[in-house]
Amino acid sequence: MNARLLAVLLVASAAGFAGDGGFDRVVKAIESHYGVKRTHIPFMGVANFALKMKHPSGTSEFQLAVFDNLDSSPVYRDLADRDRLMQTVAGSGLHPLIVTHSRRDAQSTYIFAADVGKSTVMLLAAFQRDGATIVQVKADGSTLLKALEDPEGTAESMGADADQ
Amino acid sequence: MRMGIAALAVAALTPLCAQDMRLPANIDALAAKAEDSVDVTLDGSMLRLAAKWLHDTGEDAKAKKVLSSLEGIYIRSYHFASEGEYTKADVETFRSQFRAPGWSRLVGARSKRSGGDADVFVKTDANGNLGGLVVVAAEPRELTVVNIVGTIDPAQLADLGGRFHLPALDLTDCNMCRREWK
Repeated sequence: MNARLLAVLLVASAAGFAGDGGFDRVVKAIESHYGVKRTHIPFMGVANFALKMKHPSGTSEFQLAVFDNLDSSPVYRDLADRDRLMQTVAGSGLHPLIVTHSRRDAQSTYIFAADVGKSTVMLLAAFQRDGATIVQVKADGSTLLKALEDPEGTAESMGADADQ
Repeated sequence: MRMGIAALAVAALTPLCAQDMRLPANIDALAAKAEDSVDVTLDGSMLRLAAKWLHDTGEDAKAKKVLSSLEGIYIRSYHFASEGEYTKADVETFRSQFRAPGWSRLVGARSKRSGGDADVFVKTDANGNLGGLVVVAAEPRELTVVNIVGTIDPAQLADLGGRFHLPALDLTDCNMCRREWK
């Protein structure tokens, strides 16, 4: 019975993951790990609608979450801990493409990709000195190549810059 | 039931361990000292995906051809705030593993002027086919390790240089260059 339940849970979580690309899971994991809820953005629904109408070139199905005051967590500045969190939450469905850290600017950028059906989902997590921005989009090849070669620039172009 | 969970856990961890083995474990310790770091992981499935994104003309076509025979590209690059953050012994520790059977040092370049050095190691199978390539580029404040898994002609490195954070190796700026074939 337990084995069957475990199998059902595994299949269900895999199916759920394939459907959303991992965005919700990553956001919830960050909330849980640092004990900080994502920042409520007034008119986020309107903003999301606007993004669906006009989104960065080469992307679609834009999802965005912003975190403030993450530095209230005692482990927020621990980059090794952050790496472990992101590796764990990525699981087997999200492929880690690139991780950059800058201690000087207290910034980290993680870019994951997942093949979902005929398209590729890109999940970008940009951590700054005291906050973070998580962006998930369906992206075309040129956007993903650009993300690989210029992760910080891509993060900025998607609104995940240090001024968030 | 416990055996089942253990089997699942082992199955889940195996790809991670296999991936970790591709680059020396001790290099990750240097990440804690680095001011800036870049970690690129392109496994087989991601390389196939990346190849799909490239065009069939020009430089893209060359890179696409190279990618088609690769199983993985793994890069760790560290930039340090000052000299001496890592030691020659740190580098030697992971260079030494490429003295194992099957590995040969193809290029060793040392620059007295810049204090930097670069080594290219290749792995060959019993038939002499290249199955992998490792580049270790060490500058006083910068260290880059590239591991390319799969069939590659070292001459094709130039077609990938500058892409995916792969360094464009310039071996002309050295006082003593050495090529070894085993």
